[in-house]
Amino acid sequence: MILLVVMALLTGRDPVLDLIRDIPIVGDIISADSTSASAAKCLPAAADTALIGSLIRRGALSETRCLWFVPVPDERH
Amino acid sequence: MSGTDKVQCLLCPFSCVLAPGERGTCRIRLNHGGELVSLVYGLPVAVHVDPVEKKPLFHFKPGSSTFSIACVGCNLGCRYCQNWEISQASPEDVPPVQLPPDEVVRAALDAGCSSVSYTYSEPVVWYEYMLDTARAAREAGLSNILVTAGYINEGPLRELAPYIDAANVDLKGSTDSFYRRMCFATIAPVLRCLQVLSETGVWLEVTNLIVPGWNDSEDDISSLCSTFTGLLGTSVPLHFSRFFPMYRLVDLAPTPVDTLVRARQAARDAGIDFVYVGNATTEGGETTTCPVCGAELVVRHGFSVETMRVSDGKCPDCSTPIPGVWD
Repeated sequence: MILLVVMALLTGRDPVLDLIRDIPIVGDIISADSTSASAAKCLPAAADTALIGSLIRRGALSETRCLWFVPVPDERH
Repeated sequence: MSGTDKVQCLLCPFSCVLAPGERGTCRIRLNHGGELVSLVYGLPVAVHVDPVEKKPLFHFKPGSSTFSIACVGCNLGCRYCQNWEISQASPEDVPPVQLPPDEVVRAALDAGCSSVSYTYSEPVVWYEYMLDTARAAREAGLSNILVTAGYINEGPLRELAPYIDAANVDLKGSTDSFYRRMCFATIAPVLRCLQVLSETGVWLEVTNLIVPGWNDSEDDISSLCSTFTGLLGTSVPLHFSRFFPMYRLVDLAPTPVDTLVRARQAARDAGIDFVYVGNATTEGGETTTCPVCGAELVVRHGFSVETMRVSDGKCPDCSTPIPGVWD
């Protein structure tokens, strides 16, 4: 327990998380080139389509065509 | 164009139908002008070098390091999610880094890893990034590890499976009602995923997170073991993991260690050869023993391997084959 407290003080994060299976420490990325990400940092979760389009054009979000989808036919007759 | 520009995603059983501007239940697949696009391709939010035991995989290259990546997103909404900060986030919520597939491979090789793991959140929903990275990793001589809840349609799974060497699949419970109440999903696609991975030769291990009051009764464990053996037999490793209060279940206490010990014993009594306990220290709960002579073969402490006695895939004392990928 003492060791955990010391680790927490030294690293500034909860060491218990390191001991739990398959949990990453969010933000602790070993290879960071976040230049593309700056515009995406502080947006609301419900960003609208225009905003998303703008982010995609600026390279802040990916625009990779997905596999595994189909167009839905027009149901109007 | 005669259509409505609506699209239907065929990746997972939710089969979301999306009008332009709408995203799937996973939050990361967007109908952008009549095309479905991924908002997270090449943009992971977690990049780590982990021991393979942390996935957990106990019978796959023990003691090796695995280059672990995750983008935001998940198609389930499990109340107890242990990684909810990223799995339940939208791409705008967590700053990513740019790491295209070839750079993942280069970084994995530079870090001395023997595999790449698609993990932490739900890799199924960032399928295209995972598939391209897995192809590049395979070409570079790296193994690929999938850690998933298994909520994926069979077509995409069969396209992916040839590139996956090992998988740990969460079997969260044994009933449809558990999946509906806890995860807002259904169990049948998960069972099918387990079957397909098993049939296609992917090395498979299964994890069950035991949550107090939700899936911890004797009946729950017995039912889980029965489902497990009926589907996969007795030689696939089963991991019981300890729950810690997170996300929407912060009012629950962590799983008592006794519960995990009893679950392990029940699974062994049900004939399952390799049963482990994780997120808790228990007597022998992380040790691989020979199912025939009982010899201790792999002794682990936490995520480190202290003793490794499996030789040529066999118990050195009685020559019983021990299933796994040991080199």
